[in-house]
Amino acid sequence: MAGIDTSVVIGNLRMKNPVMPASGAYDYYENNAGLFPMSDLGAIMLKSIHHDIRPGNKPPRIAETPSGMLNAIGLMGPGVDTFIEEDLPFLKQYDTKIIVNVCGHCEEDYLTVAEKLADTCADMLEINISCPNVKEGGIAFGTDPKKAEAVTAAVRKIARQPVIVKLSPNVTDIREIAKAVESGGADAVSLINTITGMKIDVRTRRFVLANRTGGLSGPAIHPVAVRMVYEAAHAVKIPVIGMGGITNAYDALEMILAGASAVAVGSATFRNPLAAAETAEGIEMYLRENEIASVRSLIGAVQE
Amino acid sequence: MFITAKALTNRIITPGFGRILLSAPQIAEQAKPGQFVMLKYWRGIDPFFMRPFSINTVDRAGGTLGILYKVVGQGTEILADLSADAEVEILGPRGNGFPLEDGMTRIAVIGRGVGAAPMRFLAEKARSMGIGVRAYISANSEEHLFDKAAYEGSGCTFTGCTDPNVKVTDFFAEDLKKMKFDAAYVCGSKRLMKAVAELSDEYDFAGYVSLEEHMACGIGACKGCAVRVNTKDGSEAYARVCKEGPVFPVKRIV
Repeated sequence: MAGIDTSVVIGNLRMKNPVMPASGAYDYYENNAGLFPMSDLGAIMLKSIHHDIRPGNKPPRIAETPSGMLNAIGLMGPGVDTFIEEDLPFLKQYDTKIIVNVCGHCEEDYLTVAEKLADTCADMLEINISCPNVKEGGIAFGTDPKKAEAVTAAVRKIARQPVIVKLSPNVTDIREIAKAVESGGADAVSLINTITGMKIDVRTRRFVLANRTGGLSGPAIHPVAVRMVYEAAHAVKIPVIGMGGITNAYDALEMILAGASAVAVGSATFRNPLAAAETAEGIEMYLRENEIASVRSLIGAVQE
Repeated sequence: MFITAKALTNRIITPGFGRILLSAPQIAEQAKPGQFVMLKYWRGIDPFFMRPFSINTVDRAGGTLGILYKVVGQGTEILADLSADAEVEILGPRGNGFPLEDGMTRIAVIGRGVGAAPMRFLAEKARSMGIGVRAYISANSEEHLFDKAAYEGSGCTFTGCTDPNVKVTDFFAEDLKKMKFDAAYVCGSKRLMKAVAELSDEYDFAGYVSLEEHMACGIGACKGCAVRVNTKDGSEAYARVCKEGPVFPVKRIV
């Protein structure tokens, strides 16, 4: 079947396919080491950018768990000025969309970063109001609908690009938060960020992570993510970007059927650096095999 | 490079320790002493992460990589049971190797137990460049001085130490009084690393350490394998063992 259409639309942006790396999981500009061209993906989603340099948390920062991992990296990063000077110019050469994840401790931090990115080649911003691993790492905004709406509205006013708001699963009702950021003017929501977890070494009787708690990700959280994507997609009219435990095209299609317009591959890239590219390729193959003309017809198409 | 290779042999050399030989000509061609590889040799998503291993031997002509391992957990238990002709996914070679320069006349390689694995590759490379190598290796017992014959066979002066009350670097300190070393390379023990750092204050040689950390990705993306590094103003800074390392100037760490 000719003319398969894998493109999707988020905000005013058309992506050639629905697949991007999840923020913090794969810094393509630095690390894909020529394993595949970044232009194979619908977008590049970059790590969290602060207004200043972040050293990150004390080690140990990661732990393996059944079908997944805990991390408490602490948003280690170079700061927005270095990012704009050194990383963005390099990324421009690739035929794909650039999404920058923005993090902050207070509303002003988010606004500073959004303002500095306004005149750059960043195609879209993802506002991280859900990092569980740093004090005031946005999570304070992500669990309170009023604060979530306010920070979304404030960023929306300043940003020149469409704004995605990344939601935390560590809430009682994901629908309430999704609706709040939609009211605040978000162009899309992305979910789920990691689920707060803990691991204790029974031999040493110590916490495995220096931060004590960390964010759980990987296939272990996939069913939780699918459920929350489904709930959010039915609560809001703006597009949903689904993530959480996607390792291949089937996991991604599950998210799309639940209501996601696009998907992000996170932890899976740590164990298979080709995971995101293989996911994009696999979605196209699925469409061909099932003679489906457009991936958009699958968004939210799950049946009883 | 991310390839699927075949294991050629895999055997337990002494209880709890094994050697696996992999046929991976492209990686053997590129690998430098001190670099590491990420390996996956099981199906499915448990264990979740690939496993990092230092490179013990490289045979470019034969296109093989040798890995020396200790059985410590889920990943290495599976490795110990792996059949000789198994398929192994390899991501690598990764990281920065040991600085080794033409014109060096003598170096010291220092390590402990299985942690000394990358030192054999370094010593053999240095010997092929005509550099004199003195190896100072400690272990719990004689049978854990895994590469003793290989060091001696390649023309290194080998000092093994199995006495828990003696630091193997004491022998290095004695030799430093008598002869000049261009560089010393250490891995596998924090205690030995500290000793090398102290000796490099007293004597004029370049000290390098290779660090090990748990890793998720091995390519700098996850930032999980962070290690605290010294800064001029004492501010908090971390480097990634997989990307900025695994080899660091010893003064940057101690």
